[in-house]
Amino acid sequence: MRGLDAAQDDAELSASPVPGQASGREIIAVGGGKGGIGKSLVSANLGVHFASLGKRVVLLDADLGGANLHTCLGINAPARTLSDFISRKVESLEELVAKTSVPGLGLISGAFDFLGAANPKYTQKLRLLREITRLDVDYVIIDLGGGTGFNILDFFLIAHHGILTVVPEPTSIENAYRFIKAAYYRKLKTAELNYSLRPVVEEAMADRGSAGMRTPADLVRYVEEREPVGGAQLRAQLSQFPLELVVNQCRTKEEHQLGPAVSDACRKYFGIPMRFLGSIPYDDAVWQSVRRRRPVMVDRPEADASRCIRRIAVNLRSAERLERNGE
Amino acid sequence: MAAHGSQTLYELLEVSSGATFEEIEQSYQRIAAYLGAESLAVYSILDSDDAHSARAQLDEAYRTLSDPDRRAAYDRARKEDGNYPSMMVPASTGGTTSTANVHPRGRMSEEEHDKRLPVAGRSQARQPIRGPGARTGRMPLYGRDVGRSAKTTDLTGVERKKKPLYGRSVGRTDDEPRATDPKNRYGLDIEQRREPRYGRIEIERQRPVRDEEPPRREGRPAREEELGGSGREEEARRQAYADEPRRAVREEESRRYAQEGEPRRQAYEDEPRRAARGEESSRHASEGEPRRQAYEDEPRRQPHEEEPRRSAREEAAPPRRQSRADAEQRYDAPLPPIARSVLDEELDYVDEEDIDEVEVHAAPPVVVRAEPPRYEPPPIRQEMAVREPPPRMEPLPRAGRDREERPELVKTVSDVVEPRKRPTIPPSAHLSASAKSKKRVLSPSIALELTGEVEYGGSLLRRLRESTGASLDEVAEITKVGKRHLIAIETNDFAALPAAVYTRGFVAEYARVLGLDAVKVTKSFMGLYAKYRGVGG
Repeated sequence: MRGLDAAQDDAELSASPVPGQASGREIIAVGGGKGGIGKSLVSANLGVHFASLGKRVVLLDADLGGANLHTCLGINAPARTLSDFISRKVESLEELVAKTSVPGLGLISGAFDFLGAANPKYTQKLRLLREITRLDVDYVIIDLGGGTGFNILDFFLIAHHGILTVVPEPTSIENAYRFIKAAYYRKLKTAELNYSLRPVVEEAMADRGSAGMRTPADLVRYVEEREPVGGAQLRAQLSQFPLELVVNQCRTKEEHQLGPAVSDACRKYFGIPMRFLGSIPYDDAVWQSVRRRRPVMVDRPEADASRCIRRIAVNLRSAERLERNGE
Repeated sequence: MAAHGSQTLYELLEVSSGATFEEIEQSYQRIAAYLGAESLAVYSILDSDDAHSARAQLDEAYRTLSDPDRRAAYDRARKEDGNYPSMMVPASTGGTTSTANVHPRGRMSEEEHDKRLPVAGRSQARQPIRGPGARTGRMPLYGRDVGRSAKTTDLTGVERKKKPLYGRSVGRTDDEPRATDPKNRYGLDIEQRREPRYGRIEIERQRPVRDEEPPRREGRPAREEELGGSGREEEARRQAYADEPRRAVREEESRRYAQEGEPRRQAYEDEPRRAARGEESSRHASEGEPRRQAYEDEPRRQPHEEEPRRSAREEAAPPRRQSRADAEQRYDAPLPPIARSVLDEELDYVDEEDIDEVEVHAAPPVVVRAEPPRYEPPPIRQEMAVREPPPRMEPLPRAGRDREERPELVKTVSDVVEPRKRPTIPPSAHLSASAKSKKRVLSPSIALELTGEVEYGGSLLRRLRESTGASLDEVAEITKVGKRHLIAIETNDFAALPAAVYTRGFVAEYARVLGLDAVKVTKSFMGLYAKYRGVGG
């Protein structure tokens, strides 16, 4: 992983076709349930990387109320933010896109006011989500805030790639699993379910605090026992839950190996196949570049962290499942 | 996780039933990576017990499937019995509870089981070896550990009983130092014993040893008598067990066993199969098959158990049986293990010929403990039954707190003439005598003023208050509003009053004391307040 050089990455990138929707737009959400685990690092640098490949990329700072992605990118707080969109001062998201120092990379900054856009009404949020999916770009990268609030989960759920960032610490792992569960249950809540399935699912959701129902897989099993057909649909849905994993701040070999293990555990206990995209080593270049308010990919492209982020980008784009990266 | 109970070993290892050894090995390593003791990957998904048992299951699966012989046996057994469970918890695991202690041969017939005893013997012989050297074998460490404990459950009841049970290891704690004593309980050097334990060759090594062993003593009385074990024996065994080097390696597991072992052992005792154990063991003895068992028993029994036990038996063997049967019949219920062992101990010492000694040796508590539990309602309940209901709690001495109970505002003279009942302001001990004696009623002349739209200024409030005969002090005491505030209210000294929110509360309290509608009064008063201060209202 560390030995990989940028040229090789780029060669791979140009060789692999870009997956995506019919419009070519790809929405990537970066979450993780905990603060300070590198969500902004990953999203900003993925954005930089894709933009450097000539893609049109928009970074969306969806950390409503705590937006600071502009700082990571070295620009001043944009004059117009999501608040303006939510309060209908501007009609389209395109008007909000601020230019960054990287050509092709735009930023839609999150809201700075605490009570307005940080807690948008449901209809406002729906409008925002709809507009996000209509942005005319190649990549929309959504940098989520910490926690498992609905506003965060809903952004996560519209994405084609839900990247979960963790650091090798129990707190982060715990929050990540909680995030997965919350996201899945949120998806179940909002999913259009079969008429007969809905009550069973709601029954299961209500019962999910009990000891026997700790994971989404347990819930699906519960539903399957009562509604075999609908349960099978649920199981299929579960297996299509778009989850990808990045482990940040790895210091030791064991920590680099955490990714595959978490991925396996998630598949086994949650029934959700989680693709491990790669790990990012703990690298002084990262915090140094943050101090300089530049993305590490711009500031120190040769750093280990930058290489690993490139590798992650490659894995993200590759259609086939990543083989285990045991370092 | 719950689902594991129905999984086959192949499913546990996430391989197909035709998987090669390499595939099994690879899959095992992969799963062990996230189930590892230090693994973060299952943090918050599995609690430590679940993770431990999942690991144990995995190891058991790996141990079985990675060994061609065992795998073949497992496959055969699966074919023979469609419902053959991959993981099965024997009811009588003698102190071990988790599915770590299951074995694919768990459902074998007795004949089949006996046929396989050498294999079990091998694993049994392996068991005492724990400690630093345990990592040398082909299998991963906890694989071996679990395997050993698993195989103990595979033995006959006799062996299980005789082995120091995990359940008995109560009291061993984490902070005990790792055992470094080079001698184990067999008096052999660890290194010396470890050498032939691993690898397939050990079967061959074991057998000659067994053949050299003297046959089991035929004249031994039925095992059942010994099994109960006196308290001292228990202690001695526990001690012997605690001294073993391997204990240190398995501290965590033993803690769990300590919690769960006793009920297990109880279940085992109650198991009907136990009845047949005496003859079973004698059959084994005559066949000479579990000589290894005898070999194991021999040194361990020597210091602590054999002498007192034997002497007791020599003295009182026949009568003891008799009296024991009597005792059991009398209580007519399976005794809990402690009671049983106590009973045994008692019977050891009691000779029926000199009954007097019973009282000497069998201390009163022993008899009490041997009694079957009898329900007696706790005395406290009886007391409570005869006790009178507690006195009703006095309402707070704050006037007019309960809006619901507060009478409506006096509207008419007839209302006023009648003394008002004010249940919310009971005269309480700490009120002054005058406050208690006064009835706070409005005088008719003033009440007339209240029928229409009234502006409740301070002066009116004062007149109302004075009409009730209550002094400012008393009102202050009842309302807990400071006297200076009350004065400020009565003198309409808005500048002296605090912020609107407090003033509103004071006025409301004041109004309630006077039996007025707090809402009306505050609205009116705060109107004045707002006019003066320009805020509030």
